[in-house]
This record gives sequence, structure tokens and C-alpha cells, in this order.
Amino acid sequence: MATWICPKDGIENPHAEKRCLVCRHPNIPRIVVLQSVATGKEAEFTEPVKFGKAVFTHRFADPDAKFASDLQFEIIRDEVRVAWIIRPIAETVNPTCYDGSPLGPDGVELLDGGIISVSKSKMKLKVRFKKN
Amino acid sequence: MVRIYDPKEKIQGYTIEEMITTGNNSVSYAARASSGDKVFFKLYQSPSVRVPWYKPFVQHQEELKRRIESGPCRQFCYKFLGGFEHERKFHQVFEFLDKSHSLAQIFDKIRIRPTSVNWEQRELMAKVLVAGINQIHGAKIVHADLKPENVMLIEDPSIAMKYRLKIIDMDFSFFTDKKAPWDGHEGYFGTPGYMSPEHMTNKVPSPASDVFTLGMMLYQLLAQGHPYLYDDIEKYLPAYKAHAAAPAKLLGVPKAPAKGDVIADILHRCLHPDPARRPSAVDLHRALTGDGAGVIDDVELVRRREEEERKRRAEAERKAKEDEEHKKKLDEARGKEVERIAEEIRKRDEEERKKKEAEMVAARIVLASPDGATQSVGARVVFGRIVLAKFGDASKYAANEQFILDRSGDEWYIEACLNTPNDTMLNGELLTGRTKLTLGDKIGLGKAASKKTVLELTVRAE
Repeated sequence: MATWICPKDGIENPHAEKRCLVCRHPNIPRIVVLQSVATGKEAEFTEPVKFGKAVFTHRFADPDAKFASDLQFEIIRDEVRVAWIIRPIAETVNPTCYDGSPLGPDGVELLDGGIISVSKSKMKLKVRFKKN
Repeated sequence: MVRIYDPKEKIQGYTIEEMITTGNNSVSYAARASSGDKVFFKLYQSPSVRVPWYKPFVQHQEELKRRIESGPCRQFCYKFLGGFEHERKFHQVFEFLDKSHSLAQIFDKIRIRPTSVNWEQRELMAKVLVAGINQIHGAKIVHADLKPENVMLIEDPSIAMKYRLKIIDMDFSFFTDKKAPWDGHEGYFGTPGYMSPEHMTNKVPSPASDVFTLGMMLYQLLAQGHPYLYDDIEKYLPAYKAHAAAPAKLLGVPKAPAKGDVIADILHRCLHPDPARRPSAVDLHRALTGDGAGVIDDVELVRRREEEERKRRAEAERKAKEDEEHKKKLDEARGKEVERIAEEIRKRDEEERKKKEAEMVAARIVLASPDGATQSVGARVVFGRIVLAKFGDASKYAANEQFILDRSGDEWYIEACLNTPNDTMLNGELLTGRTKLTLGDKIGLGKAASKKTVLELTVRAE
């Protein structure tokens, strides 16, 4: 059975448990890695970040950056939902999509292998998690 | 006579490395298995193979191992590696917890430097300890001898708690759905200062008794310290019955969503004299993590517990009344006869004491072993391994200078030497300071904690 070890108390928990059964520490991956599908360039994030045209240009060198607004979306570490969440930023020119669907105002949980995009097909970023 | 193993001695494939402790029922060693793994090796003095509960005890150990290892308990308890009989003594081998400290040692560390264990670590330790007891209760086991010495913390710098917690010394734990093998033969072991009221009044401890002890330990870990800190064992029970513990004052702010006032309240309720009014380990864990309000909201559960406790109390009262009446009748029958005999014994003891004191005017005394070896002493002599060698193999437990016999006027005195690996015992008690000898006194070597003695020599007049 797949398990994870709580970094707080060392207890081994079933993989399906989002929180440690003993101390209730949320099992959220420490690092989110985003990789440009077009250029293969990737960047790691451990804190909440707002993404826009500048980040897409400088970190991912993706020519599709031109379709993004100055601030397009943000990712946050949500300890209540026990997940990394992607949320849209209001009034962008093109919508932010996740796995092809436009984001609602509350955003969605990021999953390993998920695809973030500007509109349905531009500026595609693949999601990966790293524990350390 | 206690069988003590020597370093490098091999027993059933295990090589003894060193003695760790001598307890009331056992002697424990660090040993090496044939695989090379270090193990905790326990030689039981009790139960002996002669007692009727020996075989049930061995089976009990097997079932304990099975219950612990087949469920979530195993993360919180040390591993039972196996048991066997050797030279008509039961032995058991456990996982060796290297780089570990007992919770008692952690409390000492905190007393010296309160910041040495931070609040987050303390909260985590409390949650893991309570979760572990909860799992033990879930396996229908009562630990029954919880105390800080039986909670081990193994160093692990990779986690925030900095230690992994293991609950140990469960060989005299028992099941809630079966009678303990020693029930009716022996009492239930416990440690003063950490026993529940029912434990202290010779009732069978229950999971609620463990919760009482947990409450005391959590006061030390999270709040102002031990809630009942007395130097006199007689003071515990009245204080327990009066629920005299002060409300808990937490030393930090619990991690949300847990709430300080809820935790303080539930810690105080752990110490309720009525077991039915105490929270369960589940309630306690919920309060510590903030899962639920930390109160028992199941009215039916409370009602059922109270009903069970009422029945139990009525039965206990009926039995106590019967015992009291029986005792009263016996006392009346004995009456003055008892007093007359007691007076005779007092007079005889007094005469014997005077006679012994008179005999000590002897110029020389003799130390004699049970097998007839003797050593005459006429002046001050330092006794050590070499002088004691004539009394047999057990002399190897003596230091080069173990104790001194000294004459002053017409009286003989004994004095223990300092820094000896084993204690000098006089009449089964630890010898401290210069003590006057009396004929018939027994001098031995041993450990004060266990009151077990080897090399027993009797003082006689020459």
C-alpha cells in the first residue's frame, strides 16, 4: 500500500489521507514544478506566485507569452483544501484554462500531470510536484 | 538467586553485550542477535516456571505481539521479536531503540532548559502519545503501567518533532476482553505517582485508568507540570478522590483549529476520580488536533458509561461491606488474645535485641556464606573482589574496594566504598553511611532499585 511519512511527527499515513492521521498536518507537496510544453523550460515554486506575461517570457521563454495579460493567474498553497490551487486573476484578455476548461473564480486543485493554458491551447504549462 | 548473564555469554543465539536495568520482574540486557542486529534482551524472574500462570503468561505474550503487530498499534509500540524458555526461565527479545531518551529524561531536560523542547515539539509528542494509546485501546489492550519512563523518544532530526515516539514495557499489559493470566495470583503492576485511583485501590485498571495517567503526563508536557506532586504516597489517593488537581494552564498556544481552553478543560477531566466521567483517548486526540470540540457529544455513550460505572460501584460496595463484616467478626474473635501475643513478641524482640548488642562486644566477628565459607575479622578490613573471592563466583560483582568493616570500642561498623558498580546491601536495603552492625545482619551485593542481592554474608560472633 502506498504511504507517505508525515514530516512533522514521522507517522506513516495511507496515500489517500490528505492529512496526517495523528497531527493533522496537511500533505501538500512542497514544490510545484511548471514546465513549458513548447520550450521544455521549467521553474520550481514553493510559495504563492502570481504569473503573467513577464514570468512566461523570462522563466519559460515561451513565444505564446504574448497571449497572456500582465497578471494572468496565481497558484497558492491552500492548507484548508490541502492542495496547491490555481486561481484566475480578473479582467484578463484571454481566460486561464486547466486541462482545457476555463477556471471558475474559486480555482481548482492542481494535480500531477495537469495542464495550465492561456485560452485552450496557448502558453501550455505542465504541472509536476516535488516533495523536497 | 538471580541469574546474571556475563558480557559475551551466548543464550539461544543471542550474545549478551551489557546489563541495562534490573526491574521487579526481570533483568534487561543489550544483546546482539546472530544476524548482527542489536536487541533488547529480557530475562524474566517472574513468572517462574513453577507458578500456575506461567504458561498462560507465555501465550499472553504471543497474543499481545499479534494484536500489536496486526494493527495500527505497531507504529506506536516497540517490536516484540520473540520469546523462549532457557534454563527454566522465560526470555523475551524486543527491538533495541538506539539513540533514544525516555519521556522522563525529556522532562528533566525541559526542567533544566525549558526551551530545549519547543512548544511545537511538545504538541506533536502529545498528539502521537495520545494517538498511540488510542490505537492500543482499539486493540482491546490496557497498558496499565504508563509513565514517562515507558515512553521512548528516538532521535530523528528529519522530522519537526525531532524524535519518533514508541510506547514500551507492555509485557504486563492485558486485554479488556480477557482476564490477565496473573489475575488472582498477583496484583496489577503500577508506579506510584502515575497510578489511577482504581489502580491504587486494587481494582482492575481499564482504558479509563490509562487516560488518567495520560492526563498526568500531558500536564507535564503541555501545562504547569505534574498535577499531583507529593513526596508521600499516602497523599495521592485522597487528592485523586477530591479531584484536587489545579486546572491545566497551557504553556503555549495550540495549533489551530485546536483551542487552548478546550484542551485545558479536557486535561483536567482526564483526572476525574470517576472513570466514567473521563474522556476517552479518542476524545483527547480530537481535542488536541481540533477535530471536533473535544467534548463527548454522544449522550448515549455517557449514559451507558455512567450506568456501567454505577453497577460496578454497587458491586464493589457490596463486596467491601461483606469484607468489612467478615473482618469485624475475626477481630472480635481474636480480641485480647491478639494483644497478649503482640505484647509477648515485643518483649521477646526487645530481649533479643539487648542480647545481640551485648554479644557485639566480641573482639572478632566472622562473615559466613550460606555454603559455609567464613572470614574472621579482628580489625579494620577493606573488603573487595579479592578478599571476597573465597565466597565463590559472585565475588566478581564486587569492586576492588566494596565495603569496610571497622571496630570502634566494643562495636563493629560497616561502611560502603564510593563509586562501586554494584551497591552494598545490608539486610536487603541499600547501605548508606556508616552503620552499626548487629549479629545476624546480612551483607550482600546488588542493586538498590531491584532489592535483589547476591553474595549474602551473615555476621556472626567468633
